[in-house]
Amino acid sequence: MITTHHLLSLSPTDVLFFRDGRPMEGSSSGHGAAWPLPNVLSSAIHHALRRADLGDVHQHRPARNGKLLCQDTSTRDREFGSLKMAGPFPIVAGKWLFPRPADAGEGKTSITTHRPLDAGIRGASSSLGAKLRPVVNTRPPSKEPVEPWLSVAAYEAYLNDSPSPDSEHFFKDGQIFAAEHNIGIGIDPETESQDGERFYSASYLRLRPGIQLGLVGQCMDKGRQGNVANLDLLKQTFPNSGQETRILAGGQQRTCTVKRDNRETLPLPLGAAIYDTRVRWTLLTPAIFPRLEGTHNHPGGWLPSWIDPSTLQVQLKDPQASVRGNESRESWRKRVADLPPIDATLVASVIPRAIPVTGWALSDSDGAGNPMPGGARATHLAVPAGAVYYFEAASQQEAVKLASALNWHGLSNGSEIQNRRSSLMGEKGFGLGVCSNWKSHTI
Amino acid sequence: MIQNHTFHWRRKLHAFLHDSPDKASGIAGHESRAAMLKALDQFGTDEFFDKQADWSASAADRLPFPHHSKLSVKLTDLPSFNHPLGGATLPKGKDFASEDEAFSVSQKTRPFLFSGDARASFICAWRFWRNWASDSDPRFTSLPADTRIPDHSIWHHMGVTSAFQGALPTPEQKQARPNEDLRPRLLLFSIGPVQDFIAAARSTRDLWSGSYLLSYLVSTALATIAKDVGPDQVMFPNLLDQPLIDHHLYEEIYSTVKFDGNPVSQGFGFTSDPQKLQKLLTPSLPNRFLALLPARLPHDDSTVEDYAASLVEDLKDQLSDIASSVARFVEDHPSKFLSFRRDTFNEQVEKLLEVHWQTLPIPNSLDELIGGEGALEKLLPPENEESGYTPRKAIQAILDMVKKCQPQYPVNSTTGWGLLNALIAWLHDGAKAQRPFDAWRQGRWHSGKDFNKDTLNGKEEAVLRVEGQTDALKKFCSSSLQMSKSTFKPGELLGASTLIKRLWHHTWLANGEVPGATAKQIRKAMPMPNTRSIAAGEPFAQDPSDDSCFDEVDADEIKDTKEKYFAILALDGDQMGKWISGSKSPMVRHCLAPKAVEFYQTEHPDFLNAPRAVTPSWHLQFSEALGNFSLHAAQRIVEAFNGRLIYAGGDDVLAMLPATEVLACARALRAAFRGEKALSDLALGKLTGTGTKRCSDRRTRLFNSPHEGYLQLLPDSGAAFGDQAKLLSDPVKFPAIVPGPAADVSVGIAIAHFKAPLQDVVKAAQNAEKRAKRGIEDGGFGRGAVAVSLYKRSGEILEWGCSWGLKQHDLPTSQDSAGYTLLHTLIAQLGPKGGLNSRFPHKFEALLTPYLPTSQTIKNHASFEQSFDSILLLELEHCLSRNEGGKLPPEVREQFIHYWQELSGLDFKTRLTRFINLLRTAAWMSRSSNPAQA
Repeated sequence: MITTHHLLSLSPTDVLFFRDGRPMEGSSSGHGAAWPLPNVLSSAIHHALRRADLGDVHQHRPARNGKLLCQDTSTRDREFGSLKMAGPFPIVAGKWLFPRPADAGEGKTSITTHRPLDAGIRGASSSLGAKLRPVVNTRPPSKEPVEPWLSVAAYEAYLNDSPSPDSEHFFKDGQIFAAEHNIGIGIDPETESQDGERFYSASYLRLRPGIQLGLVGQCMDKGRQGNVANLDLLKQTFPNSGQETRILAGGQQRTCTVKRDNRETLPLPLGAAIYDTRVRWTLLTPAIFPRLEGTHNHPGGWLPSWIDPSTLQVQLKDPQASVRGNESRESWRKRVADLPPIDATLVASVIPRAIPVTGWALSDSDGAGNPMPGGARATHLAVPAGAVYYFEAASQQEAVKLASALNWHGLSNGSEIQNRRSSLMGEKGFGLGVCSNWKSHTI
Repeated sequence: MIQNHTFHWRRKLHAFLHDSPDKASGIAGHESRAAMLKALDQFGTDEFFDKQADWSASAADRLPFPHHSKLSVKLTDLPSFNHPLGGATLPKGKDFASEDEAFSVSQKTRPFLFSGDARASFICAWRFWRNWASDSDPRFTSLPADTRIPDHSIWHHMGVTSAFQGALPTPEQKQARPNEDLRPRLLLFSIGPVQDFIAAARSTRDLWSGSYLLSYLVSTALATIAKDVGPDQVMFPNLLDQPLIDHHLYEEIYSTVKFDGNPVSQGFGFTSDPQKLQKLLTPSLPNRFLALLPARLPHDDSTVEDYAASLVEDLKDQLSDIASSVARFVEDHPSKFLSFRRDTFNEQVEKLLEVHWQTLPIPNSLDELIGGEGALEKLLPPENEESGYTPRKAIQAILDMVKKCQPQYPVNSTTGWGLLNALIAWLHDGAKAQRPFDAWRQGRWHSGKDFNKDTLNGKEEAVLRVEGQTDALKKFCSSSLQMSKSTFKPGELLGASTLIKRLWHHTWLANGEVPGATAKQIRKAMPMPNTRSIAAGEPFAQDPSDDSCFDEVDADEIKDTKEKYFAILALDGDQMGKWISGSKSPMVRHCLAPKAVEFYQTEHPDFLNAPRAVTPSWHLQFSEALGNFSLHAAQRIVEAFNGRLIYAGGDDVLAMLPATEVLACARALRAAFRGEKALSDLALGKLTGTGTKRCSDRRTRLFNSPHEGYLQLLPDSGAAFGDQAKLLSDPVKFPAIVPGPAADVSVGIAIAHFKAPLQDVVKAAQNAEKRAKRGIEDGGFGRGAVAVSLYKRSGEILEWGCSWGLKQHDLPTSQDSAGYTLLHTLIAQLGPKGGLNSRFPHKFEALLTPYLPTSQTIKNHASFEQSFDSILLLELEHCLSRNEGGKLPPEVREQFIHYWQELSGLDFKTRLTRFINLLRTAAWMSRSSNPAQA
């Protein structure tokens, strides 16, 4: 079996600390018991690659949006640009779990509970405006909390609109992790002992026994002189398939052991066969759509950058037609640019409350020689995992094209991740989604 | 258009006056009495009142009764009026000697303006008449609109009728737009975010400020509706008696009005009466409202959709104005302590609010809504008795009844009001499922000092950086900013939302928004104590009237050695959503007059057991009940226990209290919410003394509550009434409805050291409240309960809880549960006047703990659980017989057994753990009563 996608399962050696943006000093408690975002563990793997002292690693010039930031050919200070990650997803007894879709709102089942309303009520209107339909609950409303995690079987039952598996396929946060509160002391870096004045309190993430953090990763590298990306850096970094390697993950130098594994198909749920003109895209991981200004203005935020904000028409191209054949990069780009977009329109969505994505950066330069100050990173708001978008395509063929463009596995059978539809940090694991059919709610 | 607008208000007034408030005293002559009352108004032919409004209002609020020859009820036949939530009645009082006696009250109390301002005339009639009539003759408080179903008053019916009048298309509109859909519309409107926005707080003022800002913003939208269409158009919340609405109507309406030569403005007295200012500053409006509006607005002919969109813009403009005042204030005080980024601040303000709205037309016929082909109700989810979701049940019962008991009038579409309410809520939730948000920035990540996050929410980038030494900064805050010296702390980073919460009361409210109110008055009205003062039972330890001493003094500054643990109390009404949706409505039999019950008992007995449909008057009364609780009871009770109210919005209370008082305060709040008779004994104490010594006297009775479900204030409570009230009286002479005995509350209490981060303690209290509501099978207490979380300085967290009271037929009762009784007794017995030694709980715990790991084999033995009652008693006797035990009256010993029995049904380990935790909780909560441990 030859696959370049690796499954990495991380087992914490103790508690982990994934802090939000709030400072942790004085009377402010550190809030570090949150489930980590994709960029946090992607960075952990990136650091692991760097620490692995791999030697023969391709070094490239910094670039952005297909343009080199530095014309000086001697400035090759970027490494591991081919690292692509996805996750983390909880692994319980070897089974991978995924965030509950926002339109499957009933506990202990994965049935679809919310559907777009077929047609508006005459004389009724809402703040959604005329282009978007409300997504209504078809089940009696309930405030009972539902399990936020589903097994693949439950998720695929949701995607295929088939009977839900039993309650063992649904997991509460409390079954996966707990928050642990601790009091800490300030350390004087010189004496490496208590500094005599500072105390702090913080909450930490404690995974329940036997639970792991699951990642999918790929890092095929050309090496220092090569032209073909055939060096598998993850395999080199975690050579001990079936055994374990230790890495740092999150804050406070907390550690996890990593076990690498490979499978023919990845353990993520596969999109359903599309038999209609309607496509539902459900996010497995958060996605970030920043604001665009310039040639194409776009508000971003909840609205994917590849949807026209005025018409809600999809702007993506048919992935099959976009496959690069024996053509030059330039002519391929021109050909794809000239392709018509998939004929589909966004008609509804369910978007849970946005999540802030931020972090901390060390001082650096942007590659063009401009210094980048270290410190807090700007906040991006992300559409959370579980968000659902509903599209209507002009035909079933267009719907199939759209699903191929949006499903994480694209045209593949699930052996690789082809689509990351987040406009930012897709390579770190944002923007993975999966498609299925949808029905509207009607009288 | 102006003429139409005048017609609009005149027609509304005409509709409001279509019945005389004394109608029930004699149905036969009520129309002529109403005609006499409105004779002074001299309504012209264009100022007619559309009978359709009365029919729609009556159909929405009542039942399709048979002809009065088959069923009629005289007021004299009625023993009492029914509480709209069920479970209680209000005695009718002495019968009127004659119709004239009742009519004279209506006449002499009717607010009548000689000015030609049609809008002011209507709003004043709506605002003052009920209060003046009730204060003049308490029987007028609840005189029914229809004696056959005395669960809502004539006042509600008059208001609902004028609301329908205001929502019906005018003849001019019908003529101008013959093909347009001009059916009245319901508008459901909500703003957010709520929980996260309020919870991000460093101080008590932050907590109050966030909650009040949301309430204030909602009030601006509601006031716009009140001014454009009428305050009666809002069905939930009830705008009557809402200080914020009075405030917004003050400048345009009340300040221009005179009665008997006296300006009405004198009576509001927001600035002259600290208690009224305090009420004005209480966040008492929910974050959503339901209004009945015309398809086209009378003042500008805009469509209701455009109007809803304009309300959103108004809200955003209001927030923008408030934010600008904050920004200007910071910019006007340049200093080395504050660095401010205005551009980022403005960007964040634009993205602060989430607003959702939904409209729904009222169908022309009931068939469109239910029963007919393609009826709208078919869209709703299927009913589920178990979860209490039964929106069709009440209306279906009415339709079944109508088949057997021929009604006098055909069934109107508004008979399905409850179903319309369910439908619009369902559609609104569907629109709200999409929470659109704009991206905060372009492209890739930037980093640096400019992107440091807000200290409290960790999300917004800081727009204000606070620097400098503590002492110099305090001096700057008090001298230059003229604010509390703890307004800012060195190193603090504030985003736009936190900065607005921190300053807007000073830059907006005290800067002309409340006419005449100074920053000092506002501080006096809402002084925000520090946690240390609260822990010490000194709620006014900083004297806000002393200019040199501002509130919110650092807890660290107080160097004494008094009690160091304080409590946050979070109270929330149980299943309020279900109440509002009608899932918990009382049965029809509880709403009807006895004679009507007899009638249906013969004609269609099943109908009597059907749920009462949700009606506009029901919504108004429900809101009124919550408002009475929060405006008249919550603050008085919290202060009686030397606590401070942070906010009381409807069913939601957040307060700070001394750890020793919090449980008794929670019990008294529950009694007030339910209108229990015991309230008068449970809440004792009015504030006495001045300055830092101001505190509760712990003995003055505040409430008189002879009838369950209603409360009255006693004169000593500081209420305004009679001549002293000037304009509006508090419920001293007349009863005020509260949610009543069918409703209940859950309370979460978090007790922590005064240095614990406030927002963490608040969060802990809210989590405890959720635990109190959680099902017993999930480790909670199943609602109607109190849950306590005790955060010791050592890091240990102790959790305990119990039901408030015993239940009868699944309904809460006023009889305290064994758990609450035992805890209450132990706290008293462990105090200085009690017979127990302070070591008793620990000694008893030490004797019981070894039973926790009892093997399954022993526990499975049939006799073990039964024997454990005796074991408990033996251990108790053993403990008491030792020096470190103490003395207990025999009846108290029984309470231990009662509590143990109350815990039956739980597994042994959980049962014993809860028992032990009660002992530990009692020990901790009583500790400051014992000076040796304090």
